[in-house]
Amino acid sequence: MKQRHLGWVRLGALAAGMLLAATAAAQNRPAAAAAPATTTSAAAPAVAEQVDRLLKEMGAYIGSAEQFTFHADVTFDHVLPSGQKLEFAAAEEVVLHRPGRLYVEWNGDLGARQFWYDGKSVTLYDPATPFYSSEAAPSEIDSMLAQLVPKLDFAPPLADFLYKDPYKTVSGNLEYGFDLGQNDVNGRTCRTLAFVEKDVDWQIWIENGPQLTPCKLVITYKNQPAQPQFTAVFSDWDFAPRIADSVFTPELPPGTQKIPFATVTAAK
Amino acid sequence: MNRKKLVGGLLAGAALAACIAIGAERAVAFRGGGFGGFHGGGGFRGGGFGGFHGGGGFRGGSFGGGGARFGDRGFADRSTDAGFGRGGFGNVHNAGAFSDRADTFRQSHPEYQHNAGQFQEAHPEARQNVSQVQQNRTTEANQLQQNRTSEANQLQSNRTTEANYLQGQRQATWNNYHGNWGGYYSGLGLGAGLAIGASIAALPAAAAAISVAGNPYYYANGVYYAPQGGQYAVVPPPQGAVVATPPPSCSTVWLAPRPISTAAVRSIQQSRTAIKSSRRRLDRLSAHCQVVPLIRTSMGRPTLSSAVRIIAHSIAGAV
Repeated sequence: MKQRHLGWVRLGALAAGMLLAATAAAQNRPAAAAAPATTTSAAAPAVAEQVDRLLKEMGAYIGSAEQFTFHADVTFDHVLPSGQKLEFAAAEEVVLHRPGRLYVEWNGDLGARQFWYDGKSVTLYDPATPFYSSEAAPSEIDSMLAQLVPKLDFAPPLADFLYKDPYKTVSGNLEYGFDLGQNDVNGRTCRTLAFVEKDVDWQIWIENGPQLTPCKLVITYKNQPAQPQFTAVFSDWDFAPRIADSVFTPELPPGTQKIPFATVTAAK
Repeated sequence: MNRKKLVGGLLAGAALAACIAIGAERAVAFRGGGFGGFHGGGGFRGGGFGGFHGGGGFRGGSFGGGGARFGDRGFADRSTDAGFGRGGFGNVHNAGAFSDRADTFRQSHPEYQHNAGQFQEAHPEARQNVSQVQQNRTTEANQLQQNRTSEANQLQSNRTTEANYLQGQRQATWNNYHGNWGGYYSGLGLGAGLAIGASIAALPAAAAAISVAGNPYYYANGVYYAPQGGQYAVVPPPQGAVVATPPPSCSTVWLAPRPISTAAVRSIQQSRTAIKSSRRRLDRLSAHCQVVPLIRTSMGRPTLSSAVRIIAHSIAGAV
């Protein structure tokens, strides 16, 4: 009787041991089985030295300016669900005054937008509707722009060139960059640079001469269906504009109604 | 009884141990964040389509559609943002956030597919029309190809025909030319059928002996004969032959400093052109006719510079 009792005890101990061992094994299993660890560090971008230097110089020239205006003629693609790619056009006017004032006006085939930022709030208005939206924003342009996409899922096109350090803004994801030589853009002699990133390929034409401003920008969204493009041809750069303060104050017609911005929501 | 309970408990414990072990393994994976997009791996940002979302996104109001421009709410996603930077479009910095949503639209709007099917069911002629359009295109393409082929063949045929015609004309001209030579011969009272190459046993009484390049010929009434094996063969006028009397068919053109008729001027101009353009032809003519400088003095006597007399042959194209 005693021996049988001991046998059952041993059996129970064995089961308990198995339980403990299984749990410990599960907890100690390396993370690699769940998600592969990244063992290789990101390769340094292969950007030609003169390309990097020119991009940096352009960024410094624009970023150091206290104020400027420019015009851009834009064409952009939109891919329909059927796969058909359509091209549309627009014109953009940008008025910037650091540290915290910005006005962007957009007029295109698919509609118009007016965007104001006065250092306190951002306001967006569609002239074709009686609605506008406004929301509090950080006091400086860089901070305001940085939170637009994550929070509101949009940013004015060509906002890359509105930061204090455009070079840092556009070079963060570079994988490869090279020089395509000198070309003319609407009579301006410009240097063409081409870059490769994970999500896009892009080219920028930078004017030769003392005013190192962009002449043209082309972005190809190569991972999107039909690889839509965004193209902007810059003109009328003015680094000594006379800007009235009222430019940065929203000018809304009577009867317009404020509605909230649609915010970004995480997928479930 | 206690034994059975103990065995049952042990078995349950073992089963529980197995379940926990499996669950622990999955729990570790979840903690490790191996579930892709759930942890914000990009892709689906923003809440849906239609309406005025993103790119200057509004929500609420009557601004629910935005696809009105394309006749289908949310159909053209870009119409809802006017291209104004939705998802960072138009910026390098935010390129990774952009998605044109052409694919994800279908996924998040299954009713679009359903509606499309319903439309086709309600409008079978649309599907037929599509097929018909395709058929029409194919038919038209084939017809165009056939037309092109036919046209090419016809052009080739025309070219061939024309080439043959031209060749025939040349041959006829050559034959006619030679026939004229022959005809010329035959038209001078020598009787029909006396063509170049024909042989006669005896020369005409008026035949004159001439020498051209050291070769003996006989000439009578515009016909040249060459001795051949005891007989005389009719030959074409040898180059460089000079005869005292031109054939009757030759016509004389006088070029003089005094006023002459328009017709004569035209003839003279044609003569000059012919002379300039074809010395060989003239040489051939000169075997038959003569180019003789007319010498006339200002007092009525001929001078070398004043005029040139061309004896033109009547053969077509001679002058």
